[in-house]
Amino acid sequence: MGNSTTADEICLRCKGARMLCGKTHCPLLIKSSILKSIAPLDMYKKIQRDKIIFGASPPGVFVGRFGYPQVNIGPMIPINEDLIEKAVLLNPTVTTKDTSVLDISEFWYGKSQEEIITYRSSLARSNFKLNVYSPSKSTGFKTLEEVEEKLTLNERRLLDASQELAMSKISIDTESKITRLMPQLTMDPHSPPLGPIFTPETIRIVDNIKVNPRVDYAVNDSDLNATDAIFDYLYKPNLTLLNEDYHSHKLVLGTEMVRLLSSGLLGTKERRKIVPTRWAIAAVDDITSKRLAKEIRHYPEINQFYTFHGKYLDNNFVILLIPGPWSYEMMECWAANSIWTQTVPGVQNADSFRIPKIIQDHEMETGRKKYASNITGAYYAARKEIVEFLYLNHKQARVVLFREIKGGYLVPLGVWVIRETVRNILKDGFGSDSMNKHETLDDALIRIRENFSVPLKYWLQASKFLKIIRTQRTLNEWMK
Amino acid sequence: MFELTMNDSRAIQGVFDAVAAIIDETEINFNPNGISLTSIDAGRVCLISLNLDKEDFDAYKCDKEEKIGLNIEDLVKILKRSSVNDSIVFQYADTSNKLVILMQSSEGKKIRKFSITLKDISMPPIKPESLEKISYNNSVSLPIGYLQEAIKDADIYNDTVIIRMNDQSLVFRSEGNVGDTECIMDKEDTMLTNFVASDDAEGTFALKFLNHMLKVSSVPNVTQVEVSVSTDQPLKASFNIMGASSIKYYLAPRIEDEDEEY
Repeated sequence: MGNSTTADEICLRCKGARMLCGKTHCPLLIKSSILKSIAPLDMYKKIQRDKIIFGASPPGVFVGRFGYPQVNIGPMIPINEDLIEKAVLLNPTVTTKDTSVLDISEFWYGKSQEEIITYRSSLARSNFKLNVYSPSKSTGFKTLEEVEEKLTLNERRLLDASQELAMSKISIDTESKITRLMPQLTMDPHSPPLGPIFTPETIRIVDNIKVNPRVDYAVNDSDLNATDAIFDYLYKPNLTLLNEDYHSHKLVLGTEMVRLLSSGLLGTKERRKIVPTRWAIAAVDDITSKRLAKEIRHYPEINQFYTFHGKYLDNNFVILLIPGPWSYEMMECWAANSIWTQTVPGVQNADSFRIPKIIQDHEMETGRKKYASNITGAYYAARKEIVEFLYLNHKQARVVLFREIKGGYLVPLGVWVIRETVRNILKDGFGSDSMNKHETLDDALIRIRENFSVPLKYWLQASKFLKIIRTQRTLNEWMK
Repeated sequence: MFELTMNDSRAIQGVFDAVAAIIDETEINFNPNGISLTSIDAGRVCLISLNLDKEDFDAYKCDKEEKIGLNIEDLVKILKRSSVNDSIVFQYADTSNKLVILMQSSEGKKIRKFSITLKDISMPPIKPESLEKISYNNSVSLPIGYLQEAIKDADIYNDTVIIRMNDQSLVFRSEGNVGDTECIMDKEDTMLTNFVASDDAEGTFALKFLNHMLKVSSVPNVTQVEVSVSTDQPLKASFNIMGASSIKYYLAPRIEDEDEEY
């Protein structure tokens, strides 16, 4: 059934990804890409003259999704030394060469939009095209092995460099001879913003990489499927560690798993593939939380209602915990005049945003098999943190996540905003300052009224999940 | 220790397929009189109670009661590998923690052996006895096809269906933004049997679970379902399968959606 399919909310459903307005580029994202001017021009000039980029890769690898199965893949190298120094200053516990903050979104919570855009616009990504399409195969796509067979020596080196960087635990000096550098900043609702693009001729990793033993194991075991590799080897053993433990070299962060998965380093040998970063982000969030959710189903249910509240970058969250077996709904409302609800000339959005538009996806006790196509990546990002919170607190609950986005969220920065904000709201567990206890559901729902500008009645109308649990009786009533 | 044989592989497959729609793991009771299983879905909305009588097996050897925990999804995956002419054997020895499933072709020349590791399952506490005590004022036996069609109709409009029964008819009603639908089965319809109605009963039920129940129709020769309704009570649906065996469901109703003001 899904949401209505009329043309009147296309920006909200598309969010710059599906090109539902028929234009070749999203007009709203083009508008926001003016922000690219944040990186100084002199530097571009210098690089364009020398045709060389040298810097410590965070490490970072990006795989683009436009034109799939013709994918753009390549390492990322910082181009602005001043900015890097600034980044290092912000993270004083690390050595001078550490540029990890430029790519690891787990470190960004609490930073301003400008800071994040500064990080990203000083990180150039290289692009070289690889065709992963295979018309002869039933799946239509080549595995990494088949892609590698057809590569030229130079392409092979570029791919090897990308994969080597994807495995590295530490920032690593990397040098690239380039043919051109294009200043730009691309926004995407799923992945963090992307900086300038360069076309590499050669890429040389100057230093030796350092690999986390778990990563080493997962990459070298070509009989291990990607789901098991991510969950059992990379994610689960680190569950109790904090993001800050990254520098102790024990923890494998989500961003690192995304790099490994997207550069075709995980999975059984015959199934390894190059995966666009955006898809890999959703895949990692989905894999980790789906498996962990199976485990919390044996945990005791909470016996009171709880709400948690928090906000970041004009993204407002209320997390509602209801006694019952694990199940989950996320609702999202882009308030009037936020990014996806502004009036765009030539796009049929006009006038339709006077009534708040709330989109939702949910799953009942048995989980979901179809992609959460209304909320998309944010659904899985938030679910990951919520399940993790319940797991660590040894509880299960029905959870409803409300997210209201206001105009202060200037550009979409990626699903990490949702993931990290939810993580932060829940980090102190039950009993944190952001938490309230309630006796009844109606009492708990008052928290929405207190914190959101969109009236509660619209949220209740939009929620499919709350409707089910408010009306569905259980057999317990007859089995006392 | 037990060893049971059923020549009709489709029947046993259909039975567990229906169970798997409601629950993913449960404890199964193998006893000298047959196999039984009672379990409830994670949301505690639908209870399934299965009784396979030993008469319906082609060979049945079980000297004492054994309770074994199984992942039903895995069991179904294995049973789906059987072909129409296979006979299925369940074997269990006290000393092992595995259930062995043999698939034997009708000529008896080819045997496939599968084993499935038993699981320790913490069963949610349920008291099916109190459900069985409910006395229903209205019940009727109707062809499964009738129920199937009524549910498909309702699915166009909503995720729930209102089931109403009085001394004249059984009615399935559904309404939504699109409009509404009604399916009226008159008591004079010769396809309806055992029509008993002593008051007006009405209840709203989730289509999802009614659809799960209909999976029983993949068991060969199951044509009728007996539906019992009473206002403010769970819906009871029972299917007689194979001969002496049965599958019963209890489904909790939904309450009318009060549009409260906020």
